[in-house]
Amino acid sequence: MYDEKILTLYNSIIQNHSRAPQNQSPINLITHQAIAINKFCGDEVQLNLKYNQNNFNISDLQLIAKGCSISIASSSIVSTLIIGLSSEKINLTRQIFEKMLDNQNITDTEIMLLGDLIYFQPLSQIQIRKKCSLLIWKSIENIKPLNPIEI
Amino acid sequence: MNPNISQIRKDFPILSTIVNEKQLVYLDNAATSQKPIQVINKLTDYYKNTNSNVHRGVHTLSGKATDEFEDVRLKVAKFINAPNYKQMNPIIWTRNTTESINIISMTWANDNLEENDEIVVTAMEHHSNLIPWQRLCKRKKAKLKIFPINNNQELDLKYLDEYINSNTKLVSIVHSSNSMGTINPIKTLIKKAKSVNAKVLIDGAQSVPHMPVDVTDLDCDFLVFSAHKMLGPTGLGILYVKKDILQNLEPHFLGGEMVLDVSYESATWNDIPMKFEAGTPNIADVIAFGSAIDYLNDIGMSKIREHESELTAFALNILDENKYLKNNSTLFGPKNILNRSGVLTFHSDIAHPHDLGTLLDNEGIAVRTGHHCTMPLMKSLGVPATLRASFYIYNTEEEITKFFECYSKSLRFFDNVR
Ligand SMILES: Cc1ncc(COP(=O)(O)O)c(C=O)c1O
Repeated sequence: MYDEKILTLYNSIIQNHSRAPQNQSPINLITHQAIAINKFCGDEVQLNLKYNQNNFNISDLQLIAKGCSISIASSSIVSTLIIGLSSEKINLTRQIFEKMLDNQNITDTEIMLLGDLIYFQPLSQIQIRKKCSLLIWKSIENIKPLNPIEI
Repeated sequence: MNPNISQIRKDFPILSTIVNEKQLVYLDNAATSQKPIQVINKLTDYYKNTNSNVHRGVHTLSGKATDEFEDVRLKVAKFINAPNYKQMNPIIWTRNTTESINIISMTWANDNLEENDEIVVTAMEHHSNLIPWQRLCKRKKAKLKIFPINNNQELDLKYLDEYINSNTKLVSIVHSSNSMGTINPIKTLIKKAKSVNAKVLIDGAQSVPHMPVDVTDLDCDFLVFSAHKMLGPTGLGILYVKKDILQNLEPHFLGGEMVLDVSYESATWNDIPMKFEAGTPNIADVIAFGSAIDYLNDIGMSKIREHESELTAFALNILDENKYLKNNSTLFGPKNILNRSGVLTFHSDIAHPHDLGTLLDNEGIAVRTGHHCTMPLMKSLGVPATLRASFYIYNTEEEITKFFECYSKSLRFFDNVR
């Protein structure tokens, strides 16, 4: 059988996220957008976002993801985590996630913030696939306001 | 007699590497080949005992380095059977296949291409034989035509007269496709190109390492390939140019080594081929590449082709008998073994190739996953990426059996959680 790290990484929760990603339905108003492409493999993530009135946090979003199961599943999980969070909290989540990938210790409270992202811990031993799980975060870095498009 | 593979394997130290606690099965030869101990030793031996700059000293080491360096140029010219190479050596050292193609696009093609002229490439080109022509054609207002392929990813020869015609200046084609395993009928294309006075560049990156390639017989104008894909070191490419073009070809880089006489106002060029090699060349890798050529010659290129064809036939047979694989995975490329190299490329709807590749890696199997630098081809096939296993002289039937076992297992793994 495969290593423990492979079995953890490709567990059924991740698999379900990759086969049926969350937040795929179109939203009624797009105020912000973000796109990231992994030039190395062609994986692509697009976020259509609706920010709340004070532009403070995301109130709704649509995820469009193409690629391997790690990039799709991580995008799907992140998309469920960031709704309602302030950008500081979102950044903090990313930092904890990257800390986990770098094999640094994370506290129990930090783990709580990661939710199902914890399953990507084995990537700390599969260096070459780390970037797949970071694509969604790359897109979040690039969130840009749009002239609101009403759908 | 078949080459003695178990003996050959002993020459490749890396083949006994353990990866993820498993014995390495290296099936990524189309990306780069492994190196025999003879090449590795030659490289270190050069640095230990001969290191010196070439063509510029009177001291003993410089003479020795120059002789060895130039001997390899002769060896390579002979290897591809360049006509009259002893009078004028038509081998130019570059960094890789990509640089060789770029040089021709910036020199001969740039000087000869005019508005409305046409360059023909195929739908299965590596990016390195596509993008340089895209830019040149844009600049020159010339047309870049893409020779179509059929459903087996072979050139569709019914288009021969339409695509190669009196407007064609250059036909630049891959001999053996790195992403589909197709071996193209280049003799037919060269003959057609000659009939309309077009020149022909052959991208031999995947053919010269794996089968006999004879430029006298082919009568092509340019042949390009990379040392690293044929047991040689990285950082060394080859550009062969036919004599009539070579004599009038402008040098692309200027500086030391490539000049005969220099004043503050002007300079005259050194003899061919040195006028095309400005600056200190990649001496160590050229000399080590000589040992790679010796190694290939000792086995014989026909034997290498034979061995890879046998492995491919063996692989196709496994596929044919494995219902699960047949139903769940598509193999691209020609069905006829005569038109295919030891490159097998798969797509499956069950899982993304990168995920399958990670599981294979977990079992020690190195395959390539991705677009293989042929993005337009992947788009036309409607797949984001594929999984590719590619063979070389040291691969065995046991390794191929192992590959298919692990490939099936990885598909079933993802299939089960569906
Ligand atoms: C068919 C083909 N052409 C060109 C190249 C480019 O070779 P290099 O990267 O050595 O320049 C490759 C290598 O991948 C190839 O397979």
